[in-house]
Amino acid sequence: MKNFRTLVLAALACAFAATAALAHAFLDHAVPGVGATVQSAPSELELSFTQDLVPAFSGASVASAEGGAIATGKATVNAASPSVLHVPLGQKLKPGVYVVNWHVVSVDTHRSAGSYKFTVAP
Amino acid sequence: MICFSMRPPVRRARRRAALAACAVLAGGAPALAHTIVGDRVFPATLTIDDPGVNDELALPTFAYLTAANPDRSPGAISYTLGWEYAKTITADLGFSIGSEGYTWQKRPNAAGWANIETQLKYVFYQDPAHEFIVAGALNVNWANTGSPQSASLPSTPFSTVTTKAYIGKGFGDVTVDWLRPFAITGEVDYNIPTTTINPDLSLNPTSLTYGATLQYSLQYMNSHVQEVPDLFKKLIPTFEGIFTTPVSNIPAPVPGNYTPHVTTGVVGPAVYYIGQYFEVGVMAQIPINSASGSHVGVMAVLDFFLDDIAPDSFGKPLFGPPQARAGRY
Repeated sequence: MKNFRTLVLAALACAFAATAALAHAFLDHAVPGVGATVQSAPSELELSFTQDLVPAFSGASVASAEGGAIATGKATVNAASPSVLHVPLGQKLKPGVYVVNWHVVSVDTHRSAGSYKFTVAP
Repeated sequence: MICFSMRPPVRRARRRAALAACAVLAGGAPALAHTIVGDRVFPATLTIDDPGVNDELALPTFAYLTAANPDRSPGAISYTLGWEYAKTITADLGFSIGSEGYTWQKRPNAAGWANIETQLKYVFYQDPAHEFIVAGALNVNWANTGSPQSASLPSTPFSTVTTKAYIGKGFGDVTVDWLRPFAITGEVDYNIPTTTINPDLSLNPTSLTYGATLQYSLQYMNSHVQEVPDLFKKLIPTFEGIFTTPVSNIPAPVPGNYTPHVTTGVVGPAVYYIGQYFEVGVMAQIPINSASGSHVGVMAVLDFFLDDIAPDSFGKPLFGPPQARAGRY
């Protein structure tokens, strides 16, 4: 019985250890924040997810509330923080509401996507 | 003798009704896998099954309910521990096996295992952009796979075949931001007992089970509308209900017992915590009438997301793409 219990615990440990950080990636928080109003225009967006990302298949686009596309640089993921997507903005944002559309693939190939708004105050 | 019921309520009701001519109570039992459509997570809800297929293990499920006697006095108190394992065959086809499990009953004391259930479920349509999904299933509750008829709480002595239809819709596509975290799910079941008349000439009715959930996902709100404090960002509060109505082959009323035509059911608030690898859900089940129970009961589930725990082995479909719905976001 003791051996069986040890075997079960070992199997569970292996299952969890082998798949650490493998799950659907959801947006945990962002800078500027989801739904937030900021006083100054950001130079980049920082999207933090619940799981590590595959940089090649992860990115984001920005548009004004009216739908006009905002130029962005290539989205990057730092090795030091593999769950954070950095999106440099190619232009200074004017006061207004902006829509961020993101799509990511977590390291276990789960895909997810979403959108949110933030506001640059006048 | 008074009894209780779990999912589907009619089955438990028939089990008790057929065996002990007891009152019929309704209740829910924790359901199957969570479902992700687009960026919407439909949790494994407690009253009805979620509208998709997945690789998950619900262990344990728990239910507590106090029945009411026909004279309105409190009846049997029941505690039940169950389980369910769901496996994807393809990205849209899933199989599950489970049971209402073991029940401890007080007033009068009794205990027993419920029958084993198996189910084949197929996702007919899903639209990730609109967080919309439709599915159907064929479920069989297998006779005499639980406790023997000599047990104090025997299992149902006949099988029941149930056809099921599911629907789920998230409102992430609406333009009003505060409405976007809302979602609804629904399920309708048609329960057909394979034995219509018992040896004692009592009848096993065909019945309709139907339920719905209204969900407000703080997880969705945090990711799409407005960030919320860490304590709340993984929660999905809901309000749910499930009901069972006999539709045919209904027994004649017995004086002193509940009418066999009565609809039974429970409603109540629930909350789900969605972790990376598991979900915990708790619901207060409020009987809709005395035939459904006398006090507020409780349901709960601990559900493991096998597709996230072991995505490269037993957490992926047997055939086809390793991730259900991959590439269709």
